[in-house]
Amino acid sequence: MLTNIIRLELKRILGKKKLLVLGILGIGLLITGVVIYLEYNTPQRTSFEAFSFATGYILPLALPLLAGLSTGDMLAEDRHLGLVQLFMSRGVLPYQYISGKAIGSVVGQICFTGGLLITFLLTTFLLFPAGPILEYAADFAKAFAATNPMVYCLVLLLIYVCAATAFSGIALLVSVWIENIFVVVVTPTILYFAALYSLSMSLINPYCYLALNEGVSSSPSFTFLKVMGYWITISVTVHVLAVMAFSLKKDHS
Amino acid sequence: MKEILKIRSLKKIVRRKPILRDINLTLSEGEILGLIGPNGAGKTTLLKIISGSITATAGSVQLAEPESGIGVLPETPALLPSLSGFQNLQLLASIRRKAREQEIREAMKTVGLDPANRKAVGNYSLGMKQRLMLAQAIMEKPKLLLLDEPTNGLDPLGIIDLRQLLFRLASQGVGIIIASHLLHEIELMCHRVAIISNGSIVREVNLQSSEQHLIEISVNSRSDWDKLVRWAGKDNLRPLPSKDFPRGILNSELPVSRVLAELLPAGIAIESIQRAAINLEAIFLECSQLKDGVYR
Ligand SMILES: Nc1ncnc2c1ncn2[C@@H]1O[C@H](COP(=O)(O)OP(=O)(O)O)[C@@H](O)[C@H]1O
Ligand SMILES: [Mg+2]
Repeated sequence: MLTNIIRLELKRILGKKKLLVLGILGIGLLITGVVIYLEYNTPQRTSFEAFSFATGYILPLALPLLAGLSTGDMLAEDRHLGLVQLFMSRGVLPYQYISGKAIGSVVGQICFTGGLLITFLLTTFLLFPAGPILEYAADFAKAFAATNPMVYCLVLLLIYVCAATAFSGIALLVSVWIENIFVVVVTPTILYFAALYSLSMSLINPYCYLALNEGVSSSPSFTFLKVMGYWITISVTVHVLAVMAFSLKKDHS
Repeated sequence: MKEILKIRSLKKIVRRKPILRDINLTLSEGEILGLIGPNGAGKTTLLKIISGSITATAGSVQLAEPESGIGVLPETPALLPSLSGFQNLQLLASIRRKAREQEIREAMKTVGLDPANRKAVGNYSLGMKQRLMLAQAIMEKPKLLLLDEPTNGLDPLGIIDLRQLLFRLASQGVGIIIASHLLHEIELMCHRVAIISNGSIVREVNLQSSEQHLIEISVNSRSDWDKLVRWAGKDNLRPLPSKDFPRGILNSELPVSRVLAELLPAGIAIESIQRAAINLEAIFLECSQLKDGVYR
């Protein structure tokens, strides 16, 4: 049964036309980032630098909303439509149902944000020649980005994907209690900006980890791991909490 | 008849408010049970507990064949608006992988929908959505069907189709519970009715006329009436007000044909004779009256 549910959820989330629309919107935003990049001076304009600049400019603002909109409403949608009852009456247990949603949320974001950023990276290849990132990389990884621009961009991609799953998971967790799709979808964004302003530059401020505003003290690879660990921890925590909370709930519709 | 559902001392309390209080109910194979009560009585809650999407506070729900599943028609259609009707059913069927494409198509045809219709469900009329929901409820051939306000949004033809479908399913041994606040609908569709009010079942009424002992009879003249009274016994014949022929309700365990066969040779001129229908409306009104005489 669990495998059936997971397969069903993946098919459902990946088959959504909404993802395509949001993907086009995301590409549009990132291209705007490229346009802004053209107004900035750099010793050498390259595709990798365009990618680094545009993602660093756009995603720390837009990623929570994109993630919430793309896969954050999976449970809220079912609750809103009244589908949960149809699953339960077919003998699906709450933990099986919510596990399908959690896996759908993670895999959905890997495909959506991953696909979006790969598409964008390929797009930058059409616009600029490949080459080193000399100017617009995170402070702690300037040297690394200059010598390994491709790897640097792929690491960025991984970080954004991990962060996106965390945002989607937050929406999933919230929708265990809240049925309103709009509220659920914007909650990750609201929490993110609330944390951004209330935590200022403390160690757990999500903005620092999304905009890679780290000092230059530690080595790039260590900092990368730390950032990725930050997002993976949040992502795993919220997804596990969502599964537990839904499974323990008494009334599911 | 084999019992397929047994509900014992079921209670549901939400935020300290009792929604169901001590519900006891059984359902047999092939039986259609009506659950009737005013809005807010707890019908939907009871059906959700049986279908497993809500947990009862106390009590038990036993299914004779849990593995055969439960078909549920929720109060409002639950469908993905961007998919076609067939795709919606396919998605639900993939949960258990019990109904194959052929069975999905059959279920759609049974409720009068075209499986080849590519139109997105979002563009369906309410009646079509309701028919599609009925199809998903029956496509996996469950032994128990729970229908919450099934005639919502159905046109008169849809209601007649529904009634015929339910009778056919019942004759195949499916047990059906219909929750409704429409008395007439329940009267036509159900074998038995449980009247639910304020979270309790206040009365169960058997609507099967074969188990009904009242016969409405009218005769040609006063003298015929007197003969009838002598034949039946005073206690078994209750006179009814009438403007022409003397009329009354006969309480007899005999079938109508036997009563006729005994009365005609006795020379009683019968004008009309038939089983008296149960007056569900009167029973319902009686049950929904509060102690102080105010209707709920
Ligand atoms: N989730 C819930 N939380 C609190 N009260 C509820 C909930 N669901 C239903 N109720 C209350 O339970 C009662 C019964 O509701 P319901 O089962 O929908 O009645 P019916 O279907 O007979 O109209 C109503 O008073 C309703 O307000
Ligand atoms: Mg109801």
